[in-house]
Amino acid sequence: MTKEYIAKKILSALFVLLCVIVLNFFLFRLMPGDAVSTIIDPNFSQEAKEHLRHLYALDKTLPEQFLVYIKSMVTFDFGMSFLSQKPVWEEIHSRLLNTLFLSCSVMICSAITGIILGIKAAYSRGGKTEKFVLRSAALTSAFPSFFVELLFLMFFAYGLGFFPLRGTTSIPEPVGAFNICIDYIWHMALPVISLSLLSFGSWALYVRNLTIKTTQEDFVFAARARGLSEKAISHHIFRTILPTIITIILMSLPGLVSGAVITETIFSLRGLGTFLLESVTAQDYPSAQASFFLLALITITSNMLADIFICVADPRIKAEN
Amino acid sequence: MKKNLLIFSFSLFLFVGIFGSWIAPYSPRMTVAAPFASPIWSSFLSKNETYNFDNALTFETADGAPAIFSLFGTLEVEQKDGAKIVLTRELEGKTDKFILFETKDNNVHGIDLDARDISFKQQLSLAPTDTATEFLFQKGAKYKIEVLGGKAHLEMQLLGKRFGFLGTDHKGRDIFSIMLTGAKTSLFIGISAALVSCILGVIIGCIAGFFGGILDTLLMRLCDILMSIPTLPILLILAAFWGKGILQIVFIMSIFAWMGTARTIRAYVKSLRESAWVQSLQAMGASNKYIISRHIIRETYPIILANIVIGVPSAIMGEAGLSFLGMSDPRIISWGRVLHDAHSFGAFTHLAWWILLPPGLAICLLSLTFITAGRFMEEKLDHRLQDKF
Repeated sequence: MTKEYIAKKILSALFVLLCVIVLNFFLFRLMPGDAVSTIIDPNFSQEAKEHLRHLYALDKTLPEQFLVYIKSMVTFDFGMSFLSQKPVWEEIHSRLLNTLFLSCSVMICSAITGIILGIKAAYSRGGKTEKFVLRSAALTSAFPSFFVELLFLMFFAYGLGFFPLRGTTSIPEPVGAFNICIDYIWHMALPVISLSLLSFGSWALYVRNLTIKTTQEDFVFAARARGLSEKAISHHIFRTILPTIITIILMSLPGLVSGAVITETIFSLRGLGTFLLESVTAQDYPSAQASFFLLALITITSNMLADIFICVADPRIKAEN
Repeated sequence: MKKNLLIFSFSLFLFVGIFGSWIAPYSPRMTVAAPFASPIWSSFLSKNETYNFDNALTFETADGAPAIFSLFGTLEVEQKDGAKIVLTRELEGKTDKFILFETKDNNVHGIDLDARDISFKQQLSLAPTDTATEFLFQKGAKYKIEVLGGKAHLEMQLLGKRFGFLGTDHKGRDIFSIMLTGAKTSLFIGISAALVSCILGVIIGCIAGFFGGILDTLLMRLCDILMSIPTLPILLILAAFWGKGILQIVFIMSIFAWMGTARTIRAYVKSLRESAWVQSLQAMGASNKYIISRHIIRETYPIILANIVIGVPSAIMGEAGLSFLGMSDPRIISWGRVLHDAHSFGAFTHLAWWILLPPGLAICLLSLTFITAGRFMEEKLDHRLQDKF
């Protein structure tokens, strides 16, 4: 029965992906203006224009173009960028890693901080930790992320000079694998810190509420009556809330990836978000198409994984469905 | 936030949004001071001074060097061997003379000196990268500017390093006026986008909930697909390609924001449809159109209002985000645009916090006001829904 449910979820996700792919195709074909006006100079010779059209598969009919497009999306061979005349995949793959690193680091940092604080707050009700968690959750959820990031950039990078002003790596690049790692972490530190500071509050509040609700369950009462130590009980409680937490972690990824466009613009990081912005501003259709497709792919995949995981890990949800 | 504070904040934003353009002290598009001038209350630097004089003037720079020095007017040469404009500086007993302008012929000259000009710096034997105002003007020195060998009508402007309630941006425009004028844009886009998306959501939710069946499945599928698309990237692409005007932004934001309302309304209408009262209407022979338009829509008014108020903060943040990325009309003054200009035009290098903090805090407070108002409405809504069933 679980296998059927998982198969249903995968099929549903594939259907959504197909719709997004079709949307992506028509989105850039329905733009006002000719698709090739950026690369074909009216003064080119007729042969040069034909050659460029053929290169970008724009001389075929619409259904044929669609097939070419589907093939390119599936094989991740996105064609040549208008702007830099290099294959799009070459430009994207290093940036994709940066974006994924940023999103995953923020996800993990805020989740771990939130979980530790939330559990502590739930166990010491009315204490300092709980007050701190409640106040910080209310405060940090009110600020839009880009404002806090701009503040941090001005104060810590330009003002105090603790962190670099821009970019993913220093110029010139440091020598040695360890130095490169340290430099990369130093550059990524400010975005990750500012985003985690904004999200840990709501995480901690959510985990606190979840833990308190679980503590009121019958099995905890029975375990206490049987004489289990508080430590053992806390392990049981954590095991109970863990599936929900992992699902929420997976579901927070789409929001992070979508917000990455702004974060990367603020800190001038070399990521998928800035690539999308640059290619859209320069009307570079192959690059914009490819980056939008990748962002949508990440979103759909994490939603699907969250759906599948919650049903595998927590049989009660499956029974409800 | 307490209720009174909420009402105060709400009315303040409404007032500023409606009357902002009239109460702004300066025009938000006019250069009134030096670029990146800090607020008046934040430091003890030089302020704006304008002097109109003929032939001689004494003045002091008690607060330090100005940011911009400019001299404008006419000079009529009277003596045979030409005329010059001399600036004398007296500082701690030392006297220095600087010749700002010199001419050997007998004509009427138009004077247009600016301390940033390279010719001005060359006249004073300074390198092109030096700052002439820092060189000429010291704190606590006494100055005399005089015209020797001619008659002149001159206007001297010393634009200071601080100006206004909130300072100036990279072009010397008053930030306080920009903030007051920009409130209108944020409020208009936020409320319109929330309104349009809510109306769209109500229509789709009512149809899906009332008719059920395949129409319901199709519409909910559409809902799922639109929710799986990353919001900011698609808004970015649509804004870049379809136009960056206000109405276009409202339209594209509404397309991706109706899903939440539609789901809520659909669930509510589904439950209403099974109630005895709607069934009695159908038994009396009422058409579907009549039932929906005359009865069901009225029941959803509280939900609609709550959803509009809840949708405004995300619309405001979405517009601020798009403007920050540059995807908004540059001719329209908006708070997000101020942040974009701060990021793109060097406010960070000048540590100009007065450009960064006011728009950001204003966006935060506006969103917080609407979020809190939405929460209040949801509490009231809960009671009403519970009373009904």
